[in-house]
Amino acid sequence: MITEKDLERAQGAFHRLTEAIGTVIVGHGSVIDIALIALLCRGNVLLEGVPGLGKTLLVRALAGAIGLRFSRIQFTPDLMPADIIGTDILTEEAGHRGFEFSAGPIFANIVLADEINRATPKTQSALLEAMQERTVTVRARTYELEEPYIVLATQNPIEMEGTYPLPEAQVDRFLLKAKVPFPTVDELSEITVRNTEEGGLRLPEATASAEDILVAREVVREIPIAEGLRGYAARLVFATHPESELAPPRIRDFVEYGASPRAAIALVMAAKARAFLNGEVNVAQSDIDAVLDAAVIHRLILNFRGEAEGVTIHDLLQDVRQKVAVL
Amino acid sequence: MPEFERLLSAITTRTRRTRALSAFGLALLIGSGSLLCVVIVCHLLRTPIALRLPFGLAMAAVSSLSALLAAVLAGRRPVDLARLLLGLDTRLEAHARLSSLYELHRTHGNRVFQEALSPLVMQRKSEYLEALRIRRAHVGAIAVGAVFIVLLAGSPWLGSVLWATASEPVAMSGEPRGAEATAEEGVEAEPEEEPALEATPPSPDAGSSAGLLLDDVLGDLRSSRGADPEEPIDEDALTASEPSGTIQLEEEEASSLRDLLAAISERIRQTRSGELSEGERAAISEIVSEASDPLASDLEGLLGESDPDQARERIERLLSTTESFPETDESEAPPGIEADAESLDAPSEREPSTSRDTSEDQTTGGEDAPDAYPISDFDSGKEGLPELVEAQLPGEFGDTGGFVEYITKGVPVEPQESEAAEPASFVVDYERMESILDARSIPGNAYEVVRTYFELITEGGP
Repeated sequence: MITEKDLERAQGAFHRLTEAIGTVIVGHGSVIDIALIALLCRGNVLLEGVPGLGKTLLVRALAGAIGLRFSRIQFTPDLMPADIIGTDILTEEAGHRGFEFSAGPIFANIVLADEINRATPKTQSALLEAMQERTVTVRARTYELEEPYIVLATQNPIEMEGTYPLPEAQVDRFLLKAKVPFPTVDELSEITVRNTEEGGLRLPEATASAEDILVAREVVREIPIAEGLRGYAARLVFATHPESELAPPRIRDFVEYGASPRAAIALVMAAKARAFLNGEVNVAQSDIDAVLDAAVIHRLILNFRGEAEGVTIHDLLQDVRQKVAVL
Repeated sequence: MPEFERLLSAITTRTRRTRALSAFGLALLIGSGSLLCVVIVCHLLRTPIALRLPFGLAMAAVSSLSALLAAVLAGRRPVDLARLLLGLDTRLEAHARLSSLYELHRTHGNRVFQEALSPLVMQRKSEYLEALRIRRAHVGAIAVGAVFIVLLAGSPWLGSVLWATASEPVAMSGEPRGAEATAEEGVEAEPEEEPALEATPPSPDAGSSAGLLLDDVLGDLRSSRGADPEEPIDEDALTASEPSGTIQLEEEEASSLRDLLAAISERIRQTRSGELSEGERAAISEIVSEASDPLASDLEGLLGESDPDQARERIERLLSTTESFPETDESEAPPGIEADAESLDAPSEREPSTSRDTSEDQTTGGEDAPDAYPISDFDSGKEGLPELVEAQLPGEFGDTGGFVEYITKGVPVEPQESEAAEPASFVVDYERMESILDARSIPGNAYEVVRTYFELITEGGP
């Protein structure tokens, strides 16, 4: 059970962390929050955005601010699972030959899996095991991944040819999904300043440690949430199912499958983490409403009619918010 | 956290109290309103029970007790604190702090967060309690419900006032029996057909329509005599043996005739001439035109008389006749119906009199007519009371024996003979009625009006 000191430590660490990242990344406030929330919730994030928006820089800045190991995996169609998780290699030492496991890029604290939808399903599954289990199995040996561990995977929405869309079951393992928006004019202007002047872009110094992250995770788990708000989160997830009596009309019309129970867990955990990041000591309805999109949007599957009519899941979740009352 | 527990206790208590009051108000409003509608329907349907005080009090008591029961049940219902506190947080936009603290308190959660939340919650303690006030709408429901309760309790009195007001105009139209009358019945309603006039009161409905029509008839009657139709009806005059107005006029006429005859007699004595002067002749002729026999015949005889002694004898006879005019049949005929009928049968056989019967005449009427019975219970002859004649009717009613009926004098009714087992009935002889009217110098155009009058009071009977 955490102490008041733990609470203060965790709150201080993330306050500094947020400020440090802000010195590197211009804008993307919501994406940074999503990343930090996922870090606090022991989850992974699926980022969606066109190339050049600073997704890699964001992850590198996060890793640098925490002082954690960072690795980037560029997924290509010819990427093999061993390229990700590592493999045994033949080594010779003092006249002795043997196989030594050479860890792949997945063995880091913060992993950026770029364009994950370009790799084959076999390679994707190798990454997803690490994401879910926090272990890697090579030749019947299981290697544990060091905590804190987070995978931030990206999907390129432009390139459709030669891609292997992640199966819904695999997408469901990502705690949150964030859409990286194009910066505004002012933000873009600031980006050019930071990248072309003043000595170029520098990654932040470490302002928090892995230990701080782990303590913060414990704090987040113990943040109280009212029983009624738990029920509210559950009803929100329930309302995404077209056969549910809580489902709004457009959910019934355009959704094939609703969100899984993982979505409810993600919703509650993400709400707690958001409350923590905002300096609160309890979860409010606004926290749940704020993280609803990130926690659920990638878990709904539209039917043919929904796809044909170009219905966005974001609009459907708006209907859900209006339909479901807190009490 | 004793302070937080006290807050929870206060919230629970206030919630129960507010629920009880709200339930009381709603139940009172709905219950009393529904019962009030029922009572109003009872009054509209003229249900007698609605006029009884215990009925109104019972309705009020039932409504109040049901509201109290609702309050007790609502107050005792378990309070879902988790839901209640979250509702308070939502209403006050309190960031769910109260409900989160309650969750920590309930699950014995981390004290770090309890201690962090507690001061934030206690800062808004008064707001939380204030938010649990009873709503104005429920206070209004209690007030309106209380008004309904008062109306329920007083509904018998209110109903009796309204019923009396509704029936009052028709009752004052002259219905002699005082039966109920409804204003909804049209003025032109035909009198209900009833069998022969019986000794039982007419039905209220017939009486009400008859009463309205009777007003018209009486108005016509007065107007035909030159009176103001809007003048209030002198009911004593109607029920008296003689119309008081007619008596007054005839008295005046008789007095004038006596004065005239006395003057003529004196003049004849002084002048020793039996012939009447032009003025005397004109005055006598005018009286002859209005009078009926035998007065008219006697006066005409006087007009043609030239001998002074014969003239004076005629005048003496006329004077003796006018002094007792309008002596009615009461002085001669017995109070019995048979005697009245006999006297009315031959109006020419008696001297019409303009004087009104006195009480002495009335009381001595019994001595003159062997079949008459002295009136003991009625102080007839007094102003305002009808002259009633006690009569022995043929036949009997029921097993108890004889039945004494009182009828209004002057009404041209006569009993019909009936078997002992049959109820007695009366008939109105309209021919005799006309002869009476004629004897009393009632204008001819009033005959129909009077006929209609008797048809109404006998309800179309014979």
